[in-house]
Amino acid sequence: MCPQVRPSQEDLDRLMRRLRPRIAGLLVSRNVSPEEAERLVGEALIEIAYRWSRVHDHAGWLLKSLDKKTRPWLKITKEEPVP
Amino acid sequence: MSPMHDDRRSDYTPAFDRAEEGVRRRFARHVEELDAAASLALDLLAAPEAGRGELLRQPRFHALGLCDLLLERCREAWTEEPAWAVELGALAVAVADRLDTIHYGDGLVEDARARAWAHLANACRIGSDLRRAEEALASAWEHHRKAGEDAFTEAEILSFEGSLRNSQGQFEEAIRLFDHALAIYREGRDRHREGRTLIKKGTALGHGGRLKEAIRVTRRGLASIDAAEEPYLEVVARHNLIFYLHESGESREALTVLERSRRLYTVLGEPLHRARLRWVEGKIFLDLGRLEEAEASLTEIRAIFLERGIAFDAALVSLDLAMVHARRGNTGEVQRLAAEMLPIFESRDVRSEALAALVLLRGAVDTERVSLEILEHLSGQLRRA
Repeated sequence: MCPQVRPSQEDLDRLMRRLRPRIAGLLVSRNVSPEEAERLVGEALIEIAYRWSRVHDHAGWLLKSLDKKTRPWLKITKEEPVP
Repeated sequence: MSPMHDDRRSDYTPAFDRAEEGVRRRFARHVEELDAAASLALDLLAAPEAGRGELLRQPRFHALGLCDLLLERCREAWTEEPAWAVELGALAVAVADRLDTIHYGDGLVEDARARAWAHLANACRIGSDLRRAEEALASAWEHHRKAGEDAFTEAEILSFEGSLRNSQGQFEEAIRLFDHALAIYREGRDRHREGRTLIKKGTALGHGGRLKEAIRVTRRGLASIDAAEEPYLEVVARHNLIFYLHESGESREALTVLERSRRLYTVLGEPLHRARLRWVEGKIFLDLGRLEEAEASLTEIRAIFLERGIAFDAALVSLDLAMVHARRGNTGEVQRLAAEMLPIFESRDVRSEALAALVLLRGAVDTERVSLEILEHLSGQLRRA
């Protein structure tokens, strides 16, 4: 079947509802602040909306995208001295 | 997960709510933009070539939706109208260059630029401008790195680069690039694109002379593609499969697959697809010694290529036809066809081995001693050229 050209708002809401716990887990593990989280998640959601028809595994893409976007925080966490 | 982690997880709830709200607002604009893209494309493509630069300066044309639509049109055009596909690819690059990074964000803009350059590269390759294709690909990779390296864009560029290496005769490098793209599509569970890439890999294997592997990989590709998503792809893949079966000496199996595919060619194939089917059919008949049927198919297809001005392919068909006559011992007709096709082959840049075979044929034409062995030798060399 031809992939849907664009997502509906409901598609995006459903995707986010499903992934919220996993995204939160990722952000906690990398110590991303809620303010940065808002920016990064918003960015990733807009990107997936534009790529909707080209990407088959939307959940996988969104998680991977956020994993990439938060890698700099992983570095910061590792470099912090252990108290 | 510790209770502390659970608490911290819930800290993100308001952030997620705000992010989703922001997306809702931007998404409405995105939908409006996609709706407007079709009419923008219509205005842009209806304008005379000289006037398009002026239009592109207007901010309403600086839209990601328009860029995506031009890329879609470029893909639709590249098989049948490669020159038009190059123009569409260049227009997509021009639109992508003007996208506002504040409105879309750096990642999306750079990704659009990478895809536009990659499409232009592939259109140039199909149009036989390999140098421009190489330059465009370099730009695609540069923008892809700046974009943050989206996996699907990467797979697309890898696949286009694989096709370029294939056209340049670098078959092993092409196979390596296709394998890399395949791994990305498998990870992304994109079965259709995985199938399409397998079919492309089959082409590189076939060109490289690894016919058995080409047959196996093309069959896997055919099993993976969604024909509804890209109907012509199935025609192309079946054609390749018939060709590799024939080339590997399995002419009976090739004929069986051909018979099963005939209806598909009639329903979906373009006139040139059907013509090429008739050509491979003629070659199979020749191999099976069914000379009358071979002559009928090849004579018909030669006339079609000549009528359309596809001189090189017409000369290749003449070579097959000359082999039919050589098998019958009809030396006069062999001599006539050889003399007719020779200047067309000589006008092309071919590899040294094929050039040597042409010199041999030239000598045989001049002394009126063209034989089946000389024709078969030339046919083999031209296939590899």
